[in-house]
Amino acid sequence: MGPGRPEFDPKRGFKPFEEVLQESLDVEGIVFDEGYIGSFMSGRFLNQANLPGFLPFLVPSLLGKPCTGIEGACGTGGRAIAAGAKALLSDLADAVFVLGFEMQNRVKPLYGADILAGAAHYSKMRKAGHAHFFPGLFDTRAKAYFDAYGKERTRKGFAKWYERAIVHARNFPKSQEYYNKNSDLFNHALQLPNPDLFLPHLTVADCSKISDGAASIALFTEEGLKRNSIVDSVEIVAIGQAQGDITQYPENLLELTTTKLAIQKAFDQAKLGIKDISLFEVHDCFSISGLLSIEALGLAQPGEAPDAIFDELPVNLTGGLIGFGHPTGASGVRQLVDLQHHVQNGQYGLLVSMGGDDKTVTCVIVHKPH
Amino acid sequence: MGIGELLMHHLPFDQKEFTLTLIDANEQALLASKALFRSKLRTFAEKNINPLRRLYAEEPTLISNEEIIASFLTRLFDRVTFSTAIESARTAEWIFEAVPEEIELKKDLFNALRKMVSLETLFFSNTSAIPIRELGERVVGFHFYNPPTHNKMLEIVGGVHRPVAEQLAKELKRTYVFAGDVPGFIGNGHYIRELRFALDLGLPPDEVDALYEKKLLRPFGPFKLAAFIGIPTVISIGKIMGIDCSPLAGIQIDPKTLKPYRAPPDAALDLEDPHVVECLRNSRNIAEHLVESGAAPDLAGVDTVLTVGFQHPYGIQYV
Repeated sequence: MGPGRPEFDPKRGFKPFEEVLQESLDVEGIVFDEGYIGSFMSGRFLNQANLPGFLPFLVPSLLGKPCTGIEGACGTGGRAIAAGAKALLSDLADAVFVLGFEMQNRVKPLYGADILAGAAHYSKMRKAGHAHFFPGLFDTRAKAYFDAYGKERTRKGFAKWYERAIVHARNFPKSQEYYNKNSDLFNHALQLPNPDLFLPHLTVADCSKISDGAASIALFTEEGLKRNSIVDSVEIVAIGQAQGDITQYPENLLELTTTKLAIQKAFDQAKLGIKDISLFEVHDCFSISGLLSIEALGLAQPGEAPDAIFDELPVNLTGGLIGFGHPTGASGVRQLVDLQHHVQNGQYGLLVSMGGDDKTVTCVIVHKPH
Repeated sequence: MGIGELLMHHLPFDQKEFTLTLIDANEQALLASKALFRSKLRTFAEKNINPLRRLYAEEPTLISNEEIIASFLTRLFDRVTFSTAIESARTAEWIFEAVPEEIELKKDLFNALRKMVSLETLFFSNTSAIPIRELGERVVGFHFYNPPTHNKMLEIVGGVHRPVAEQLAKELKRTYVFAGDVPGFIGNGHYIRELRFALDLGLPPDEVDALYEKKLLRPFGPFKLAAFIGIPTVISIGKIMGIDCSPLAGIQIDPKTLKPYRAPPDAALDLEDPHVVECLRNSRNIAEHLVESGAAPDLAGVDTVLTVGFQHPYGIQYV
């Protein structure tokens, strides 16, 4: 939910966020042993912390059970999944509830920008940064990419990414861009950036949405599935986690180095390679990060993503962060939910959940058995 | 109060040391203006957040957009006083007068001010029609078009402290014309005469407005424009200029329903239509009269006022 949806009207106030969390639930009748709840900045957006306290409210079987809050900026969801999986692997739990959420629209975007800037090293970087801080960081990456690989073809790659995102979003009623009726998405995204109004190298079309939303999922051991009589499930076969140093600038603006590492760890754990994966959810907080993620995955060589995106890649089927929306704390969990819904029998799916500028990254590989 | 708002928008970025006092006899209006300015200036600051961030780049404690905007607004409002007392103008170096268009009211105000201010104080009057010489010494006509935050037109009238007025006009990024000290100056000089012509056509007001909008491509027909300005004000201005606009009093147009007419981009004047030609010739005749009487320096000056101030899509036509 957010700008772009016809029912979104800040003047008429906001639904209580607890209701939004409830709307994400699809766990009727399941008895859980542990719960994880993730949000990036609910302390600022909602003045709400002590998030574990909401889990028994949402899921009665969690009353009296271990509940934990997770935070990893926009990669919160991935880390929440990883924490949940660890609880299962530790044998201390057979059924784990994982939820991620964010409510970003109660503040104007200009002021929200400073809240989101907390995903970077605020005290060192924010002052010198752009008014719209995070787009400013990726604007710098975009410029480096233009200089290295050509501005025109890269901008066309961005436009194609945007077009794909909206076209996919139009298939899913819950997407923030579901109602986008623009008949010329590609050229809309090709409009020249305006440095006076926004940024020198990125336009608003290159940016993920400012969203309110929640996503939740249930994770089980085989014992947990049996205990709860669940027959239809998707298996998590690997989780690769990598952490970058937030105090350091990216080593290489043309690469998502920590993302690459997290992906490689997941592939190594699963003993799989890029060719084995049929479906992807990547973290397109900006079109440039979407293209760099394609390269980090190995779906394209460095510098080739702007062309590769013109092929039909099985990426972000519900629109990704640009098309579906990006409630920052929820996105990683939403990606897993989408993989679970869309991966076909016998296929592997992969998600990358990234926090900050390639700092807090989780890669999850799933498999749907025949 | 639109002038106060404009001044608040522009002066801070020049980093000049200034204080601004806004004086209105009506306390309710004053308080309403204060609230309105706060909200409009916040919007202005949000739109200009990037220049503001640069302005405060050397202040390490101002980091977030909210901190920067809040600081800007605090510092600006620290320099602004709202008052109902005319004595608040006592120490002013420049005084802008924008009270209703009544000669005696303005004269009394200037006389009262002259008794309390220093001999160096300069006066700027926003009158759109009253000859500046009637207002006494040290007054320059400084007529803004409404709303000053969006309409850049400015008529400067009279020879008194003209260089100061011109310099200020440049700093406020105005499009300015020097008008002669003739009742109505250029803008009203043209409009009121055209309005009288429209009354003399003897047609229903909505037909005349439709002619001026759809055929002459004006944003407002003459009667709608009168309703927009305020019919009593227009009648007063007519009186000042010796032109009887009292029949306007019978016209009922709700100003709140008025929307400017936007001609399609490929619209052209239909010069085959005798009504169109008649109106265009009338407009030209008025313009020539304005130059002859000294109200306008030249026809180009009239064109500027009509296109920038009144937003006509074209200037004087020779048909």
